[in-house]
Amino acid sequence: MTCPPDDAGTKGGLGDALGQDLDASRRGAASYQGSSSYEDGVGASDNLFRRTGRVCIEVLSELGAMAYLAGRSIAALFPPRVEWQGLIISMHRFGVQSMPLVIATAFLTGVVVLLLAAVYVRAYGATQLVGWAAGYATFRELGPVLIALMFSGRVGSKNTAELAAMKLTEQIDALRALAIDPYAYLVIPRLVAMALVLFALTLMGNLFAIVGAATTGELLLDVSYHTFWNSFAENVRLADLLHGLFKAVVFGIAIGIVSCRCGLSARGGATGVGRAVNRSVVSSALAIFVLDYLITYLLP
Amino acid sequence: MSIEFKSLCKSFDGSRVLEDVSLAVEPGEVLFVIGTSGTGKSVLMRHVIGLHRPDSGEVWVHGQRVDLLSERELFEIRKRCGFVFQHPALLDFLSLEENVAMPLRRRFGLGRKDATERAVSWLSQVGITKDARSLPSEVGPGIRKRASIARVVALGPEYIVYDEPTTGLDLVNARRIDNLIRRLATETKVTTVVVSHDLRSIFGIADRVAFLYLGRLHALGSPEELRESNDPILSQFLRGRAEGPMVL
Amino acid sequence: MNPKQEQLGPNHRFLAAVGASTMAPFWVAGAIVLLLPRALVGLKERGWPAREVLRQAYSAGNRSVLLVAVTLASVGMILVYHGGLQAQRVLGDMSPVGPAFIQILLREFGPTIVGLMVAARVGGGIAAEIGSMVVTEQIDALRMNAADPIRFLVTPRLIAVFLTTMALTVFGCAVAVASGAVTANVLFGVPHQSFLNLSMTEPGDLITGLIKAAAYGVYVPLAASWAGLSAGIGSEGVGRATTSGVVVGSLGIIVLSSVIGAVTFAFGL
Repeated sequence: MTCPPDDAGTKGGLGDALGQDLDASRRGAASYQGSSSYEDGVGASDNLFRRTGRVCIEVLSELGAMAYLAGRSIAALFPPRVEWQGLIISMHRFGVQSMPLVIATAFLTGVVVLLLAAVYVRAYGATQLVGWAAGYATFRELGPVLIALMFSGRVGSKNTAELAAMKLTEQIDALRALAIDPYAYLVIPRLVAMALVLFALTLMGNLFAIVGAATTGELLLDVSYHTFWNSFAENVRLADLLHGLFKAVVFGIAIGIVSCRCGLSARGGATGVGRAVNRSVVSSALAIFVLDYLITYLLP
Repeated sequence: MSIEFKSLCKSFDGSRVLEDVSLAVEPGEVLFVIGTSGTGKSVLMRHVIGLHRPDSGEVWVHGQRVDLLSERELFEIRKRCGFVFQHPALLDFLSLEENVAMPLRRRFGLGRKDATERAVSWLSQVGITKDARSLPSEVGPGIRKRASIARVVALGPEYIVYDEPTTGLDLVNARRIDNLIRRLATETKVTTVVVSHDLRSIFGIADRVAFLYLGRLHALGSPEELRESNDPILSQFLRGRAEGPMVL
Repeated sequence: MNPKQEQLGPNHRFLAAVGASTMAPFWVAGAIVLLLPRALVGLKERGWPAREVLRQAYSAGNRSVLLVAVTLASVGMILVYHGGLQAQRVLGDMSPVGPAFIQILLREFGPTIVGLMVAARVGGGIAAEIGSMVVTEQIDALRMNAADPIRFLVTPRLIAVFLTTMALTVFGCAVAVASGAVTANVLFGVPHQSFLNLSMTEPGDLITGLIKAAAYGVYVPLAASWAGLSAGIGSEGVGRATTSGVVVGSLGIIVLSSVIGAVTFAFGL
């Protein structure tokens, strides 16, 4: 973890490098120290209270930093200026990167859902509920959540890795030195692209999940496509689909914020990139589950 | 109006990097900042455009106190003051040409065609012609470095800070860069600060030289004055001897 | 990819590309599966690396316990919320909510969500760690000292992550049941006695869940180690290795989940 003295730039406090105001710098430094000892884990002088306290501080400072990133990104929207090129390139890349993965995940999600329902079908013979159960569960919960988890693993972490590499090779500082706001130029297009792409992927994934579920029903359960479709079409409402798609947009923005934040706060060479990516995936997963709960609970 | 440091101190993780550095750059001159590796030259320069903030002391650029400005206000300073990084720091997803053209388009609202034309002409001034459409990862470090210089000078700043512009270049291209730096300073009165190890550049194009040693300003003067100085540390550095009083 | 592709016409090249990308997951799966015997051989030759296993298990558990607690608590609340709403609407009877929730949790969601979290946290961590060792040529240094990197690095992580995953699955299910019970009680007024009821859980559900957890526990460290060991150059290489560790890990979990689910169902469990 020792840097050569000429690397002092990358060593100099996260806020300093992201360089906004002094408060942000303190906050960043605290979060870094907290996280590094948390990562190392096996401290001799650790006790439960210290650890808990440190984890709380770390979580709060991370949340603060992410709120700050979101605020900066919104501020960078004024004066409004759409980075069409960056947006389209990002959307294309994100979509291409994750499409096969999402299709596979969605299809298998359908299979899994139907296998769960199968137990009940076998016990109670409730074949006319299968289509509804599969549609309801995948549209509202499993589709958005599992696709978002995969998306964060593939796209979010790649985004973190890219931004981390840019940070460590001073490309971010170079942008600032050219009087180009990295938030406007790099972060916003990615946030918007992630939200849009995850929306589209979830819509598409839902389709594949239903196909997967119907196929499993036909092959394993003797629930014909026809029965499945009737049960599905009669009971699943548009609201179920929209609920899930709304979640997808929120997850997309959350993954964007988390992955950009983790990338921009990377430090310490190759090891640092790996650590940033790992943090990004974990924080995204946490964010997805917590937001999922909140949306499910608050939104009818 | 120029660049000035007033008793600047900066430390990282408890270790002092710069201690009480005061230095004023005259308008239109080419000032070289020299010193051994790790003595804080780059850190000092990063203060100019607010990439670092001092622990104490002041940094003045173009009549404004930079160390107190917010990130947004700093953008105005950064539009006046170009900064060439030690490592090229080109955006790795854009070709060299786009790397030069992109800031032109954003800054001056140029169309794609005009910006590309200007980018191509600046790239040829630093000796890049056939590689202009390559990605940074496809060309050697020397070409990347020259492209990063073109990216900054193309914007026509009033002040330019070069962090080791000729390190890692062959002799021919190093002299070309020297000539470019000198020409910009003489013809368009760009105030220039160059961090360098390259003795040929120093004695070729410098108006004044500042020697940093252990985070302090050790000597300041014209190249001739420094060459004739009796200071043992300075003369050890300028002659590149292994033995001497210098502590590393 | 393949030098032979140069000689092919455009149509053939397209087919070759499709074939290559179709085959890629199978090559990866094969490489991961092949790591297993190589890691186990290390055990036979050298005995249990108990110290290293403990160290790895401690850090893996330590890193993911909070994550598992939060996510599984949220899963418990969400499942019970949905189940409760539907029971209220369709049945008008809240008594099956608890038993059905526990059955589904043990059979599917407990092991799988815990597995996904372990893949993200621990799997990503292992891929990053081994990846940066590859990039900084520490693996080559190990080889120079005649130490087998697989035995040295993969074996202890395999055992440690396996044990940790099993323990975390038990812990995660407990958290989910607790949060589900609280949710059912607060939102739908279901008393704890009728919620904590195993009447719908059969041995088959438990066995299916345990098989899944065990399979994830073996698969995740192997996938992550594979991703780490095949890291490219530089900091980009580490980033890519970490990404692929997480992606290969979580996709594999979903595949395993559906395959194991189908097989156990076919066996009537």
